[in-house]
Order: sequence, then structure tokens, then C-alpha cells
Amino acid sequence: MPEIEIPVGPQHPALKEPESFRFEVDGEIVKSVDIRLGYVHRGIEKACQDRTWVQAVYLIERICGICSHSHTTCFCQAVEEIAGIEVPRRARFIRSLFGEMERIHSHLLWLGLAGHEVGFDSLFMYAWHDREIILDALESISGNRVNYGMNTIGGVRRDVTEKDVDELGRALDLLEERVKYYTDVALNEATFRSRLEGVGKITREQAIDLGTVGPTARSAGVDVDLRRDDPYAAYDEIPFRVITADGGDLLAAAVVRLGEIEESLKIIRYIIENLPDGPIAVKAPRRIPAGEACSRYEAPRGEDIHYVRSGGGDKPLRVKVRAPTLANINAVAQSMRGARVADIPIIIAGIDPCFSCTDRMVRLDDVSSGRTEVLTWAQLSARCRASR
Amino acid sequence: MGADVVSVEDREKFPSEAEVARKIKSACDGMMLSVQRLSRRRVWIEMPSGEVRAFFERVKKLWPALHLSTITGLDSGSEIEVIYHFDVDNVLVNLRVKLDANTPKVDTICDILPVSDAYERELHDVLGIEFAGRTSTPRLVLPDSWPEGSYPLRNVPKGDEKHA
Amino acid sequence: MLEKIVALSRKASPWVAHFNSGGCNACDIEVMATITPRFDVERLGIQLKGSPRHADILICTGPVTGQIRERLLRIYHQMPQPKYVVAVGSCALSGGVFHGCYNVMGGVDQVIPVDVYVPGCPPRPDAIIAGIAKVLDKMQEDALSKDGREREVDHGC
Repeated sequence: MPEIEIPVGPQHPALKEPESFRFEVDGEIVKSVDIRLGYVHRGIEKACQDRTWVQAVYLIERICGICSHSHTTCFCQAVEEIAGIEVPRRARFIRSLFGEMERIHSHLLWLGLAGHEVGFDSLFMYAWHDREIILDALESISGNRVNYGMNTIGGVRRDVTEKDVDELGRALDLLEERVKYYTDVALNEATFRSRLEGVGKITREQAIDLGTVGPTARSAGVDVDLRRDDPYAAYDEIPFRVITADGGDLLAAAVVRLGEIEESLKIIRYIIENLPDGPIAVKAPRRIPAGEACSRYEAPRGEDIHYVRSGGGDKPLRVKVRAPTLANINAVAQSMRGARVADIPIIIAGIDPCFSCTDRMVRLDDVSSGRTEVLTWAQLSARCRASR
Repeated sequence: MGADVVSVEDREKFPSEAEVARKIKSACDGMMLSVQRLSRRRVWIEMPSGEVRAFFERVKKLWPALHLSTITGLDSGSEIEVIYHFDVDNVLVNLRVKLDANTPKVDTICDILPVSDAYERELHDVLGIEFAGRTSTPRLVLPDSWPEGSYPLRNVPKGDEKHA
Repeated sequence: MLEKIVALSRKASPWVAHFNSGGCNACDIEVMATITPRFDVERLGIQLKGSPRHADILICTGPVTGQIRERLLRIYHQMPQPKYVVAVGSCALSGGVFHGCYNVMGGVDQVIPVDVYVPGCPPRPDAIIAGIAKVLDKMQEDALSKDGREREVDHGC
């Protein structure tokens, strides 16, 4: 049977972001996938070199609208390390607080989209409805729903008041109940389960070899979490569990993410009960002394890493960002092999992709010989023509 | 499902950065390797560009679960630096090699660590670094219409900076 | 006469296509949020559609990157007449924070004509709905005007 190519993207109903996939299918089964990224490449790393240190924070915030706090925290930590700035304890707690609120909103967003991709739109509506609870809390503290603008070099820009803490407490009560319900749905609802179970599977060895990070790695049983392994902000003082599962499929990914929401709710409770007094920021110099640092952050999607070099001026010499989706995209290519066409959207959604952070790559997995080659699209189509 | 609550004592059981640096040094006996500095959970090392492959072969043997986080490239004027960031035992090791600015070239580590594929291609796009041993280095981040031989992150762009 | 009725009824239930032209996702999740229960644009007869070939309104988010430019043009050409474009977010308006970046065109209106601009980084879902409502007014105006509305960009893709 001749193999057929199916192009998906850059504009496609199942994808909310522009990226282009070409699937080679044999009947209903995906043989190989070819991914072209770069549609959202804006040149932020270069633009940072033309901005002052403080301006760069706001540019970095707009790498990605969903993990905006992750990127700025990661960047500010690197700059603070170079400048030798000691961030006040209260500021570190507020950073962790926002990090966890962001994780909850991101994971609920994922749950909704996963429901949408498997045709379970009620779950999409429910999850996004409850996501508004956490967005309201974020808005009442920071003034913004999406790009919070909380971080600055040396601390945070807005304080958390007694009133915010009360409101947050009430929001947590509500969310705790809802998350219990979603966990019940994910584990027991037959249609949802059967669309996720065994789909998009990777083994623990593959997860390590492919360099996956975050919930994608944890759902395959790899016990990594930078909040524990390389503690930043206030995580060295906060007790929490690292959630892992061993299925490696999308059901395991849902279980891990729901478990993480529950854990994040507990972390937020701990933070608001133990929020230390004191200043929320120290003044950072306009010129950062020469030096370099590398900072890591456990974003909702996994390890985010920023490398920053200063030449002693008021602008960075080099800022390098590696967002988690670039590390996880290999897992998509891997788990796509042998999948059914109908499962394509949910497998892509499975890693919770964020292409505005990522942008990249073309890859061909040769199923028959087990070799992996890297080809351009032109080479690939030439090869397809030759094989017919 | 899930490990127990992390305590402060657990964290103290992690190998220290000095221990990791010592292990790397003994594994790479006979190589021109220098440990530049240690900071909290970070090790910074430098070596000549010719030995990168041999280095990763040995380190991978020592830590099979080695996680390559990313590869950074930067143009510091007289030379181009390539920094490999990888995680072993929860310590982030940063390996720096320096390349000639006119003909930046280093061996690929794609076959040792397949994840490096995307990172190498990105550096080829934005800095024009050649990775010897690769069959091809297709575009990753730049648009198809971007002019050949122009690298946005070079300090003095070799081609026409302005994109048509 | 019949055409007038068709044009007026289009306003009652416009279909919207959403395209991320290189944005950071923030506007995109806010556009998605407009169809969820809290904001719920479907009560205004507005439906988010997957294909631009079925859409009356194109919502664009993002500053338009070099790689996306051609696709944006192609999508615009695929839409049936009359077509309306809403640019959502500061960077879709002018490039915003990405102004001057090497791979950024600097706004949707550099590539295709835009009818309504919704500022904000990102705009709240309420603002996006207000923007769409503005387009509906424009639709009515065009429907009632003498020669309706026919428009195409000159530079082909």
C-alpha cells in the first residue's frame, strides 16, 4: 500500500500555535513524522543584547504567555547570581507562590485542551471555567491575568497583602474540591481513559535517552524535579512530593499533572501560612558586573534553562534560553511511530507543547531499519518519490 | 505513585559539586581539562575543542543517565565560545570550548547524545558553527527565506543583516 | 435585495478563525478563554472555526515572523469575501515589545489589511469580545452601503 503524506499545520484546528507536521501514514498507522518549527522565532536572544537589564526582564516575560513567570524568574536568578545580589526571603516566597499558581493554571489549561483534543468538550469547558479562579487570584495580586510582571532583578515588584491571602485561601478551598473531581474523571471516566491509555507511550529508557524533562519525563517514571534537585526561590524550605507515574502514556501524564496541581495547592497553603515578613526587593545596580551564570527552573512543562553573560555594562552580552518543549519534542516524534491518525492531536498535546518558547527541528524516524536520520523536507520528499 | 515528602536531609545527600568535578577529572585522565570554578550546584570546566567527543564518550560511560540540557554559543569577538550544559547527579556541569572566529568548527556529539541534534542545528543557524561529522545541518529556527551565510548572533554580521 | 439580507444575516452569526502569527501564546489563551463559560462568545452567535475557508473574521495574534508571513497571506486569501481581520495584542498592532527584532515584520497590518485593533499585552477576553463587536458594526455598515465590500491584497503569496 503506498504511503500517504498528511500535512498538519501551520494553521490547524487541533493546534493553537503555528507549527507544521508532516505525517507519513500507511492506512491508519503513522509511519514517520517530520516537524518544521521556527514559525514563532522572533529573535529574542539577539534583542536582549539591545535592551538594558531591566528592559530585558519584560522582553523575557513575553517569550511565552503561559510560563511567563518561569522565564523571568530563571533570568532574574541568573542575573542576581552574577551581581551577587541576595534576594530577600519574602521575595523568594512570593516567587515560589507565583510559580505554583502558574503551574496550576497551566496544568488546568492542559487538562482542558486534552479533553478538547479527545472530543470531550465538557471537560474543556469545566477545566477552563475553574482555571478562571486561579486567574482571578493572579489578577488581584499582580494586576494581570497572563503576563504578571511580578519579577524584577533583586526581588519582586508587588507585595502580597493580608486581603490577598484571605482571597487566595478561599480560592484554594474551591479548587481543591474541583481538582478532586477532575482526578476522579481522569481515572474513572471510561471514554477519557480509553482515549489516553496506551497512547503516546514512551519507556523510561527512551525518556532518558531523548532528554525529556518535566511531567513528560515524570510520567515515564523518571524521578526528576528541579524544585527538589536544584532548589531555587524558597523551595529549599518547602516540603512537597515529586509526583511520578510509570505508565509513560498520556493517562500517566494526566495523572502526574493532576497530582502536581494537588501538590501545588498544598505548597501555596504552606507559603501563605509561612510567609515571612520583610522587604520584597533589594535595589539592583544599573550595571551588572562582568560574569556569567546559568540558572534552571522547573517550569510547568519541565526544565527551563537560561545562560546569561555580562560584560560589566548596562546591557547583557548574551542571553541563551532553552525552553522545555524543545527537549520534549523528541518524545513526540518517538511516540508518534505506530500511532493511529486519530490520536495525532492528543499525542502532540500530550507533552503540553509551547512552541512560542521553542521553535525548531526536522526529524525522520526510519521505522523499518530503526535508524534515525535527520533530513530536510526536500530530501525527504525526494526520497519518497524515489521509493514509489 | 510519587516519592515521599522531600526533607532538607535528603537534599544534603546529593553529591557535592566538588565530588562531581573530581569524578570528571579522574574519568578524563590525560585530557587537557581545567576546572575553572565551582559555585552552588554548578561546575565550570574548559577544554580544547578537539577532545569534546572523547570527553562525552567517557562521561556518558560514567553516568549513563546524563542529561544534556542545552548547548550555548556566543561570539566574544576574537573567538566563538561553545558551552555544553549537562546535568549529572543534580549538578549542572558547564563545559566550555573556544573556537576560531573565522572558521568555527567542532566535532558533533549527535551520535553519543541524540538530544544534541536540535541544539547543534540552532547554533549552526544563528552563529554559523560547523559541526564536523554530521551528514547535514538543516535550518531549525530561521525562516526558509533567510539569506545563506548571514548569522544573526554574530557580533559583526558576515552577510547583509537586514532581512528582505 | 437578497444579497443585502445575506449580508445582514452574516452579522447575526459570524464565524471566526484564529491564527497565531508568531505571538507568545498569551493572546491565544485569552482568545481561547473567550469561548469558555466565563465569557462565552457563543451566546452572541460567534463560533470559533478551524478552517479559514469557513470564516468571516480572522483573529490574528503576534507580530508576524519571517517564517509565518507567507502562511498568513495564504490563509487570508483562503477566506471568502467579505473578510474582516482583528489584530489582537500589542505586538499584532505594531510589533510591540518585539519591535526591531530581526525576524519580526512588526504588526499584522504590514502584511494584510486590518479592520479592528485590540491593544493590550495581552488584552482581556472582554476587550477581545468588544473588538469583535466593533467588527460586527462594520459588517452592518458594509452590508447597508451601496457597493458592499470587495477587497483583496495586491501582493500575492
